[in-house]
Amino acid sequence: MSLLIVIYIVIFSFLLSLVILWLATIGYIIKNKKKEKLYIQLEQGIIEGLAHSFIDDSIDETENTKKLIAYIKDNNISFWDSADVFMKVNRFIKFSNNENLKFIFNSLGLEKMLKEKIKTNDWYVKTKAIWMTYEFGICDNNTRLITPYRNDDITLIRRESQIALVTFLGWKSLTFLPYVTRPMSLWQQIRIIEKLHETEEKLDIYHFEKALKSENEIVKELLIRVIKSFKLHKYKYYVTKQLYSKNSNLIKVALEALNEFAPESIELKQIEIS
Amino acid sequence: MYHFFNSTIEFFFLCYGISIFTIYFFLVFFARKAIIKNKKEAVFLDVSFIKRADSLPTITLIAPAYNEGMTIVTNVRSLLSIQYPFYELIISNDGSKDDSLEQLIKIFELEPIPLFESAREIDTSLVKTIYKSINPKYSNLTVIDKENGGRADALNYGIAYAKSNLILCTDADCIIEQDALLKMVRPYLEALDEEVIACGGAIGIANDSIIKNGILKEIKTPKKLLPRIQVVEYIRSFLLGRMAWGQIDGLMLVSGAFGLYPRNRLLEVGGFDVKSIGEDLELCIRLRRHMEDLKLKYKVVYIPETLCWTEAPQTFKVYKSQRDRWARGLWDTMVKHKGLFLNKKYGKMGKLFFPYWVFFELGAPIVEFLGMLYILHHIFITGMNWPVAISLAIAVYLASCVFSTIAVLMYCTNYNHYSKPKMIFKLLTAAYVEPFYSHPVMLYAQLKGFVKKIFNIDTGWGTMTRTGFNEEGDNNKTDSSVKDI
Repeated sequence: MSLLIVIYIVIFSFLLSLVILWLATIGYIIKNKKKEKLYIQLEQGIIEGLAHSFIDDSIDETENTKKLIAYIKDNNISFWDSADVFMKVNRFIKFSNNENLKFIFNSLGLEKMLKEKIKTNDWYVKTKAIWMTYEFGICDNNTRLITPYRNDDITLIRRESQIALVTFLGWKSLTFLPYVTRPMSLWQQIRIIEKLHETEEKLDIYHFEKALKSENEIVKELLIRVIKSFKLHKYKYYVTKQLYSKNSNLIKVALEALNEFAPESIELKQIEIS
Repeated sequence: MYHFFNSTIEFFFLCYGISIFTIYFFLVFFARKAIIKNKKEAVFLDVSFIKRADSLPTITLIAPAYNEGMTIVTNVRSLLSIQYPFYELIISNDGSKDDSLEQLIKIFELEPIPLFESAREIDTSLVKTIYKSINPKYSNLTVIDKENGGRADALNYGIAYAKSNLILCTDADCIIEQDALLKMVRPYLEALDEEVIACGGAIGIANDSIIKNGILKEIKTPKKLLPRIQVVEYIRSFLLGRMAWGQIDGLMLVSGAFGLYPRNRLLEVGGFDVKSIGEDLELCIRLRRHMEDLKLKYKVVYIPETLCWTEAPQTFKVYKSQRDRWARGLWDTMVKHKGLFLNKKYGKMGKLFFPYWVFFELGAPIVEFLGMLYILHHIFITGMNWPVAISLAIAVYLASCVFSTIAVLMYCTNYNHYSKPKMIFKLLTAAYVEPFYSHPVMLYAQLKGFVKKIFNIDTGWGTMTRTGFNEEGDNNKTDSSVKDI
């Protein structure tokens, strides 16, 4: 084969690639427009349905709820699409606190489907299902289902499982902390504290003190943040002890916590300077 | 002997061409992977969750300003309205000769405060006065009035003055998306055992877009061809280049117009190098080198979404000046850090990433120029095989069209800014004329920059004429403003 023929083949393949790319673009634009339109309709439909079941007192509540369920089923709306809209609503009205919303969720079989999705091998689907499970407050049997993933190799599965456990078990969940060997991100710590604040239980000293036994420095960091956030002055000794750590980040977090407890402390100022 | 030389040269050009296209092919693959990963991860860390969170790292936004009088008030207002719970804004007035400072004092009710002793790790030019507002509404605004020392120097004083965990470096004339900080902080929140030492966001071009009160209201494709080509250029460079390098931990550059860094690391390396023209690239390499020396795990992260908008050069004169400066900055940095080249001590950075920059970022314009000389030699001296030459030129042109098309489509299908069919069409046509229209000018400017470095010709930062953004309802649309770039 001569050089010229080789170049012609290259030219032809580039031209073909360009044509495929253009066709793909046109296809994408058409598909995306349709999808966007459908999603807006779905969002409006579900939100209107939800709003009616709350506002309209003249009609029986279950009547409106049934209409909404029929709407979702009749329109062949996918699981993730409807779950995403419910997530949006959940930011304003907690599903776990509302019987009507729970009824809709169960009638659509979303709860059962979420359970199935937790068992899948796809990390993204699994993580999303765990995340939705705790955000919707679907506790039934899910704690047992999620617990094995609390030390998973995949960061996001591990993170969301640990947050889920804190959401479902509250302070009791902290007993898993001494067994945490993998690193924990700042975001995970923030979410765990947020979820602890959301639990209705009071501080469980027994489980909290069990967590304090953890040797993992990142867990120590989390516990300092918990002490700071819940203003647990009783455990100031634990925070002070961390000032002797070799981990500069841990010292920084401990200093921030102590500063919140006693901002004008002269000793603290001296430590900060040194 | 002559035939042997000829074959060797041709073999070199062939290998270089194939290498560059192979690298681009892998970049497309990695960029796609990174975009999908980024989109999936973002689902679990929505900005609305971050907004209401406690214990977030504090951020200081430092914006150096030099002769920005025409837009300074609007821009500061826009920067003050950025959403982030723990945020401070420092405007570092770098010896402006216009009335920038007077306007700021009047509008934001500024009062001088006692001078701050700058952090010892960074040397800066003399500071005249530091101002804080007496109006509680602007309590997170600080204005530093200092003698002119250049952009890097103005940023350095801000870094020394700031008290936050993270520092966002930008320019006073950039438009930053309202939720930009909430998105930029994500990598720091999600970091595990690798410390994030720099995080960059994509920069978009806002020429001819609609801006109201310093906030981008509607994105439009620029009317003029040159800025429109630069939109494609930015998309290609940010999405295919940086996104892909970020995926394999090889990101060496975070744009100076929009970069977030941990303050402690900036202080450890002494801030920006005031002598460098390409201070952003230089800082990023120095930070990476510093972490390698400390034997600490680190990463440089890139956010693919456009969070910062700037004005691109509208004329070839300004475009040439900008690319000339970028080329000199690149040369300077490569020379300064030559010790990294194939140095095993610095791991993949020494063995792979830095050599890539030397061969393909610094080397590409030189190889292209040598290729042109070789073609001329054939045309005028030895004779040219025209069918092969023309077919090769068409193949190279089509290859560049394919990569630009992929970049534009990847951006348009993943992000909303240019999703209208008309916009996509305009960007694609701009991409297809780029090799004939702006590329030769860019090549000339790059070579000019290299020649200046070789012969030690110092032309400073050059001048950048800005026409000003398309402010809605703004009767005082700028004629033009001249500033140092």
